[in-house]
Amino acid sequence: MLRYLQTSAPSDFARLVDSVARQIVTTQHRPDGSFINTPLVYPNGSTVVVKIHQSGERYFVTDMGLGYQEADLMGASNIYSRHARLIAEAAGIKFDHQAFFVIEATREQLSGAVVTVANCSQEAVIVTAYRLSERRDADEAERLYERLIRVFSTNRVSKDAEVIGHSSTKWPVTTLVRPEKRGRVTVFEPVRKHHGSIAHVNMKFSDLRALEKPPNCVAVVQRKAEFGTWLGVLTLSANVIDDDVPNETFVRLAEAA
Amino acid sequence: MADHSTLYVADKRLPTAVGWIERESDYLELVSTVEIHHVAVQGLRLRLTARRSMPDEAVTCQLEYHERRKLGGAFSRVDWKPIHRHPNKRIGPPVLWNVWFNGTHHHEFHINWAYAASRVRRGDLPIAIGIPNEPQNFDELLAFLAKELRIDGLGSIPRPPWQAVLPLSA
Repeated sequence: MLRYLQTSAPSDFARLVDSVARQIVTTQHRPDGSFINTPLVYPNGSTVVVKIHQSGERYFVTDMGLGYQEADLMGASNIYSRHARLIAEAAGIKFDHQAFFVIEATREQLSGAVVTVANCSQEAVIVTAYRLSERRDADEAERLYERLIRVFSTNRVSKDAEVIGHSSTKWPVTTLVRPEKRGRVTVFEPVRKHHGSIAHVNMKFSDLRALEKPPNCVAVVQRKAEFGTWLGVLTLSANVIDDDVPNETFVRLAEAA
Repeated sequence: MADHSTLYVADKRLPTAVGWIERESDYLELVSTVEIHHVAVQGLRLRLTARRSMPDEAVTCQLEYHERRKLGGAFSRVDWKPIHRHPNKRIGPPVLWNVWFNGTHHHEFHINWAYAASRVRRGDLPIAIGIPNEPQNFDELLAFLAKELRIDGLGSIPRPPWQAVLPLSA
């Protein structure tokens, strides 16, 4: 950079960087308005596009509802609309049922308006994807619970229970099966193939297993085969089963406790 | 529980004729169930979206699967002449790393399944590839989809009710 500033002609490297910057943002001009294709991306990888329409000295800026469309393709347009309204409000822009927009930006405000609309649209889809992921997790927990109460009796199974670990940390556990007579409880915890999910469960189970009378810890995954080396990490602190194993496997694990 | 790869390669057909609906002011959508061996498969759907004001472009088509009582999503998606672009991440074969697609691209099932199966199950298709012979019109797009997705009866899908927008006075 210093060298570039010291010379009158830009270096090849500087020209390359300038060219990269130009490729990252592109524009397209049409009779009914112009598009700016931004480098921001929605969670699925599509870039955020903003449309600008001129009306005299004022400019109308909108995401054309492309964020809504991405959310709809995820099956979550309702979640999107709910959050988009709040995101627009916080940014001081408008949102109808579908699109983010700024009605009358001045020439001086235009670049800021484009950035605000693009970021709101992206943020709303990111929040939607996050909420959808939370719903998936809740569904997984519910499915596991329903499976367990079919295998064991309802009064032996607890959902969203709490177990205090060796460190005195209170750990929330998704499902817990109490022994029929004597013995230890068994914790069945759904785990996703995501380092965050694996690390969290591993930390929890390690603390529980350090207890004098530790619970039996079982990680329930969708497909063990897809976990690769992560499976080795999980088995450091738990037995691991696929969620579609026969009922007998659940019984065997609980009775082994 | 059907496997995504089994569903993808199976010969499929649309059981009934379906039409476009206008979801919001400019946003058009068509959703159809999909049949395999005379059974309309639970959770298997074909979804197309378009923009009323953008004739002959910006059509997205995806095949979705929601396993029984699970939230799934698209496991194959084609963006035909989109107004957005798609930059690949560094996932998949190195030849596709960080490639930008400025036009039609295909989030093809097999390549995403090979490199990111668990993401595919959640409707996330991070890898896109180009389409060598880009469909030039909507009928060619349907022909491409019929062959690629192995769905018979796509010819019954009507053209989106496009309406070109006249330029507004500045």
